[in-house]
Amino acid sequence: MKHFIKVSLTVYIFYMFLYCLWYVLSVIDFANIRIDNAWAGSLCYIPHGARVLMVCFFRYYSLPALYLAEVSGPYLINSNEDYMMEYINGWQYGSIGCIAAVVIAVELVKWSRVTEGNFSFFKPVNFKNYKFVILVVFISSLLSGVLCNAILALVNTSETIDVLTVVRFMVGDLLGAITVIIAMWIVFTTAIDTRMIISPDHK
Amino acid sequence: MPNYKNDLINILEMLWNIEKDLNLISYNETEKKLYYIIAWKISKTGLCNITDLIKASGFSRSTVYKTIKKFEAADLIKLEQSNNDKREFNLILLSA
Repeated sequence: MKHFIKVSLTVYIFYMFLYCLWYVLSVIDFANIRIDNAWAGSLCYIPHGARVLMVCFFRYYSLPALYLAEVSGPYLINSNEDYMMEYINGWQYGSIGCIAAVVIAVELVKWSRVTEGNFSFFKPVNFKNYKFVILVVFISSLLSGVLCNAILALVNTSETIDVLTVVRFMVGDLLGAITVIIAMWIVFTTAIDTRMIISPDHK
Repeated sequence: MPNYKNDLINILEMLWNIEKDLNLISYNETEKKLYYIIAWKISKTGLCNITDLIKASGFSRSTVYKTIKKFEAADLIKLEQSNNDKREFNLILLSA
C-alpha cells in the first residue's frame, strides 16, 4: 500500500509538471513562436513521456494516478480554452485509449521476448535498456493516435476527426516522449558532471 | 516485491545507459574530476599548479600527468612555468 501511494504521488506530480510545462510552452506561446494554429502544441505532446516512463518503470501501480492526472490536468489548467474544450468533451474516455496504448505497447515488448524471461502480465520488465523504452514510445504513439481519436469520435458524434488529426496525435506523442527522455538525459548527465549526484558506475 | 527506490534507480540507470552508449563526452570520471578541480582552484585562488592538483584530487602523480597531457593535446589547458618556483608548473585553462 505504501508503495502504491508513493508511486501514485510521483506519477501524478510528474505528469502534471509536464502538462503544465507543455501548456506554458505551447498554448500560452511562451516561446513566442506565434503560430496561428491552435493545435500546434499537440505536435510535441510532452506528457506522453510521463505516460511511457511511468508505465514502463512503475508498471500497473501507476495507472490510477496516471488516469487521474490525464482527466484532471485539462480541467484544472486549461478548462477556459474553447478549442481545448472541444477535445475535453469525452476526454475522460479518450485518455483511457492513450493509457491503454502504452500498456499494450509494454505488453507487446514483453511478449516479443526481447526482455529476459518468460511472458507474464505481472512479471516486471527490465527497461534499463533504453532501446526497449524507445520501442514502447514508437508503438504507443502509433496506437495512442488511433485509439484515442477512435474513442473521441465515438463519444462526440457531432465531431468529425480526420486522418490528419490522428497523424498529428501520433507525431506529437512520439516527439513529446522523445523530448522528455532527451531532456531527462541532459539533466541527469549535468547533475553527474556537477557532482550533484554520483554516477551509477561509482559503486 | 515492488520497491519504489529500485524503480527510481532503474530510471536513472536507463538514462545512464543512453549516456554510455552515445558517449558524447570522451572523458572519463577521473578526467572530468581533475578538470573541475583545476577550474575550481583557479576560480578560488587565481592559480593551480600540478602539486595542488595531486593533493586536492588524491589521484596518483602518474594519473594526473597522463590526464594533463590529454588536456594539453585537446587544447583545454596549457602549462606555464611558475615565477615563484621554477620547478613547478601552473595550469592555465584555455577557453574554447
